[in-house]
Parts: sequence; C-alpha cells; structure tokens
Amino acid sequence: MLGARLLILLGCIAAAAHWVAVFAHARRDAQRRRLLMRGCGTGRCGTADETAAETGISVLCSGCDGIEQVERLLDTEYARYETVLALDAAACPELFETLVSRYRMIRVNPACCGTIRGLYRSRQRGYRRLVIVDRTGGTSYDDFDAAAAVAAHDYLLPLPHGCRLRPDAAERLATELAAAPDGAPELIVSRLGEPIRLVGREVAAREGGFGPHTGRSVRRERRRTLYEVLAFRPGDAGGFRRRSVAACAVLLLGAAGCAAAGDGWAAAVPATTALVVWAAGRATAALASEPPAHPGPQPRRTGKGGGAG
Amino acid sequence: MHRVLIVSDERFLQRLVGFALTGLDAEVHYAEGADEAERRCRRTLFDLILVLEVAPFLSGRNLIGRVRPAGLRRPAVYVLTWQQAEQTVLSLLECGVDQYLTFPVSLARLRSKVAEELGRT
Amino acid sequence: MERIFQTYALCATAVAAVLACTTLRLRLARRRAPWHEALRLRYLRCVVHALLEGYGLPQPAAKRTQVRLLLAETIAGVTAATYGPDTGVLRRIVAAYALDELLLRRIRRSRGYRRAYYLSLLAMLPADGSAARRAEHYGRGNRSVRFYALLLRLTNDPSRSIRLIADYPTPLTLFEIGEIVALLRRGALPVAYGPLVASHNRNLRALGLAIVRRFGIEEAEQALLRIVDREPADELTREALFTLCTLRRPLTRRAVTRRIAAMDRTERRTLLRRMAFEGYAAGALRRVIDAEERPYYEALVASYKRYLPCSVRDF
Repeated sequence: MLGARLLILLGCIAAAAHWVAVFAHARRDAQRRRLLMRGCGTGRCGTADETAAETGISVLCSGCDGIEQVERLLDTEYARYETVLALDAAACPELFETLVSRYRMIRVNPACCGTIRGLYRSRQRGYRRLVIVDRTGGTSYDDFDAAAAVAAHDYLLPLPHGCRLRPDAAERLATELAAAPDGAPELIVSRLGEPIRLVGREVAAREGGFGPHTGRSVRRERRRTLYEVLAFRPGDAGGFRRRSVAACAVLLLGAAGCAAAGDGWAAAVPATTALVVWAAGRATAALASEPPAHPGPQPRRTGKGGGAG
Repeated sequence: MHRVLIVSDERFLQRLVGFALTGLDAEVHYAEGADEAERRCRRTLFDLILVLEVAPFLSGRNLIGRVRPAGLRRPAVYVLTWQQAEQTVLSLLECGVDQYLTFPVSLARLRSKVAEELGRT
Repeated sequence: MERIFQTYALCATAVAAVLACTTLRLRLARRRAPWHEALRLRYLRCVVHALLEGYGLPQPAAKRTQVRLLLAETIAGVTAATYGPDTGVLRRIVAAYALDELLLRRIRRSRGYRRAYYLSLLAMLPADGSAARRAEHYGRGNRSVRFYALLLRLTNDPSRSIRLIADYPTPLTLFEIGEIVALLRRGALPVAYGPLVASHNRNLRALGLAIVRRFGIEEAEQALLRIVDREPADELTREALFTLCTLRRPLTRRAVTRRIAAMDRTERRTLLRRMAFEGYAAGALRRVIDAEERPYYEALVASYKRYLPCSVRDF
C-alpha cells in the first residue's frame, strides 16, 4: 500500500515538474525570441538579413496539396532559402502541369536514376527558390532523401505532409543558428505546435538519410530545443495540447481510482497535479500565441499563423 | 491629387513609410498583402505602389501582373525591404519592379524619390 | 505520509493558481493589444512628424509606464528602420518623457533576456552618454546582457568602438556581428574595414570579414589572401576563404588551393556547394580537388542542381 502511494506521489511530482518546465522553457524562449527578432510590433529589425549570407535553409516537402501550399512555402522574406518539393507527377498530373506553367519550370536532368523521374527548376530567376523532384513510390522519408540530395543549402528542414510553416519560421531558425555561441547547432527541434526538426546536412548524411528519429546521433551540446510554434496543422490542436489533455485525463482517472479506494489525500495528489498540468498547458498556449507587444511573434494577418500546439 | 498604395503586412513599417509621405501631393492608401493590393488596384488607379516585402514577387503570386493593367507602365512599383541579396534585387527588377530600395532608409530621401516619381505622372 | 500528501496538494494548488494568473495576465494583454497598436501608430505619426518638421512632442503625453515603454519601442523601431534621422528631435522626446530613466529602471529590475531586451531598446534611443555609463556594469552579466551593454556603449561612444570591441572578452557570434553591421548600415558606427581585417583580435577580424562580405568590398581581396596564406588554420581562416568565395574572386591562387586541399571532406563540400551557388565555373578548382570529389563538384556546377546523386551518402 505504502509502495503504491509512494509511486503515485513520485509520478505526480514528475508530471507536474515536466509541465511546469515546459512552461518555463516556453517563457524563456518567448523572451529570447522578442530579443532576437524584435517582435515588439515595430517590424523586423533586419538582423536576420544581416546574417542571411551565412546560413541557408532548404525546406523539404513530401507531396503537394495544391498551388496555395507552394505559394505559402515560398512566402518568406528570408533570402537564403529554398523549397524542394518531392511529388509524383503521374499521380497529380493537373497540379504538376499548373506548377510547371505557373513557375516556368524546365526539366534539367535528362538522365535519372532509381525512382526519380525528373528534376525541375525555374527559368525565371525569381522562382529559383523552388525545385521540384518528380519521383514515384517510397515513403515520405524517401521523398526527403531525394529532396535533400538536390538541396543547395547546409540546413535541411523536412516538413511532414499537411504541415504548415509560420511565415517567419525560416528567419527564426536562421537567427537561432547564428546566435549559438559555440558554433551552429546540428539540430534544432521545435517542441510546441507541430514538431519539426532542422538538421545539418552532414547529420542526415551520417545517419544514412531521414527517418522517424532523424538527429538521434547528434550530441546534446549540439542540439537546441525551441519551445515555440514554428509549424502547425490547420484545424489540429497539435501534439502539445493533445498531450496535456491526455495527461490530465490519466491523472483524473488516477484520482478517481484513489477516491474509490477511500484514500482521500492520495486522490488529492493526482487531482491537484491534473490542475497543474492543465494550468501549465493553458499558460504555455497563451504564451505561444500572445500578441507582439509582449514576448512573442507578430502573426501575419492572413490566417496563416498557428495557435499553440 | 496623386494616389500611393503601400503594401505590407507589418503595420509599423507600413505606417512609418506612409507618415513619411505626409505633405506630398498624394493620397496614401494601405494594403495588408498582395491580395488586398490587387483588390484595391481593381477599384482605383494608383500612381505608385510601394511594396515593403519581397515575398509577393517570389512566391508565384505575380503581383506586378495583378496590379498593373496590361500594356501600361503605370502604376510604378517600388520595393523597399531589408533584403540586400544581389539575386533578389535582380529577380525583382526582372519581374518589372521600377526601383529597389533597402532599409534602413532616409525618410527625406524616400520623400524626394516618391515626389520625383509622382512628378513624372 | 498523509502530511506529505497534504503538503504536495497545497503546493500543487498554489502552483496551478500562479499559472492560471499568468494565463489571465497574458489573455488580458492580448485583449489590450489593439489599443496598444493604435497608440503605437499614433505615437509613430507624431515621431515621424517631429522628424520631418524638426520639432514637436508626441501626444497624448505618455505618463503611464506601459505607454512610455510603447513610445520607447516606437522610437527604437524608427531608429532601426531609418538612417540619418534628426537625433536632436528624438533626444528631446526621450528627455521629455524620461524614457532612458524608465529603461534603466527596467534594466535594473529585470534579469536575463528581458534585461537584454531593455538594453537593446536603450541602445536604439539617442540618449546622452550618462545612460551608457550607468549601464556599464552590466558588461559583467550573462551573454545577451553583456552584448547589449556593449552595443549601448558602441552607440553612445562610437569613437571608441574599435577599442570596445577588441576588449570584449567573449567571441562574437554571427548574430551579434549582424547587430553591429546593422548599426554600421544605419551610419551609427563609423569604422573602416581595413584595420579590422588586418587586426589580430578575433572579434575585430570577424567583424571586418562580415563588413567585407556584406558590402561586397572587392578591394579587400589582398588582405583576405594574406589571412588565408599566413594564419594558422582556424575558424577565421575558413571564414576568409568563404568571404573570397562570396566576393566571387578567383580561388586558384596557391595559398587558397593549399588551404582548400588541407580542409576536411565535410568542410570542402560545404565550400564546393557555396561555390556552385555563387556561380563558379567547373574548372575553377580542377587542380585542387581529388578524383573522388571532382565528379561531385563538376556535376554540381555544370548543371546547377541537374546532378542527382542516387545515394544519400552523396549529400
């Protein structure tokens, strides 16, 4: 009995500490973001552009939902940036034709290998930030590998299907890379919203390509975790909020179990922990989506900004 | 009276530029993005459009084609952004942008540039 | 055990209450945001008007701390986005509303990134030198605070900028160098690239290289070649090499080819990709690259992304 009660107590302490730590990290990162990005409602300060000459980011996409998705991906002010789109032209011929004509793409590799049918880039200088890889079969990780092989920049950001980047995500990530005191990190993970991973090209090569655990070989001191929303899925509450709701539910179930067993104070422990988890989740969500006059980004007024996780 | 449209989704910079044009013989209008700029241009013929971002030109939206009637040189389109990258500047000039300026900008110089452009119309 | 459970439950309730209050405060701030935005634009109009006319103070008078902070942010925003504004006018506004005093008080009371943020705001305000002197001791704070204290001193005493940067004890990051270059672009820091690139101080040289890259100063080629040739292989030598590449200068000099040959594979491939990006010809490095890497580079350059390696190991 004593052992079970001790286990409940330790589990609850761990859960509460975890969620309070998430809030503390989110608060610190919001303040850091305000400092680095000057998100105080007075517009960009241009430091990201000053560092842009150094850090290039290639966003890798698996599949395409429509022309709007491509427009959104290219809708960034960051200079050293490109989007590599891996898709199966045979599966969506109309969309492919629209992309080719809209962005004036031409096929640039007559000889291809493996599952890759063709590589397309634009004749127009302004659209050189878009590269299309026409390939067939395989998983989204194979798409990322193919896209990474033709990407021009040193940092790769694989974007899961259906996931949207915030318009200033590339700038934010580049700023974080440039602001690292002990050399640029090899991996940046975003914890809130839709989790995304920015990896150094060499990391992907070392690990033999992309997979569900990309970046596992990166040492702790070469990683950086951001508690900010950089990507989101429209209409989806996101992993962070789902996790907090699930944790609350489990804790409340535990509390109900203890109460049913007639142990009043043992029931109070998971119940109050659920309260802490819920409050920390709400506070983190409020922090991640708060207005620019306080720590946090200025969302664009085009409905593209994501809520917290 | 001339008409100037300032396009940006960063309201602070948009208004900073707009207020700097006070006193010129021009009516200043604001648009939050490429779509709103296009809507406004359908209703009004502007003499000058000042765009404070590069993305509308590079994302495939073809802002110039949407705001400038076919066969006309008007409205003039100026871009004023933080980006200095040579490739970006060349891309925008290829798109049909008339002038490319960068932040930080001198308010007096910006006023004189705009006045000069409006004087041509 | 009961006692421990009771104590935990009470503590957890207290923590939840604090978090709930924070949420409430953030939501209230969000609700007030449109009002702040409107006021900020009103102040912006006044500040720009004052700059153009050469006189005037923002109205309504900023009395509350939050409103004064808003005014300080507005002036900082104007300073960041413009060059050559009439600092006399801005200084009068700062003095009339004691914005520097407000920021100094905030700096004193806050910690970490918040303190650094207020220091960065103060560095953007055209305040008199006394604020910088009073903020001098923050040069011993954490990294961000230390850097923005340096930035504040640079803006207040540009004539000593080289000495201040040289004495700065920590290696500057790319971002911090970007902040200093942004000052330069605003005309707030009169330094020449020559002495910086020639200096043996790491921070000065890194800043010099950043200036050369940013402003595309081709005249710096000889200085860059000297660094590549004579200095021991370190991060700055690599940076000098990349700067030559950014300037699109010939990379066939003996000093350069020797340095490239001595690079490890990863670093060399990064340089090769940068070269392909900058538009170098396929034959630019034929003599230097070994047979194993030549196809990679030639395919990259010849086709600019036409090459499709079949294996991810060819990244």
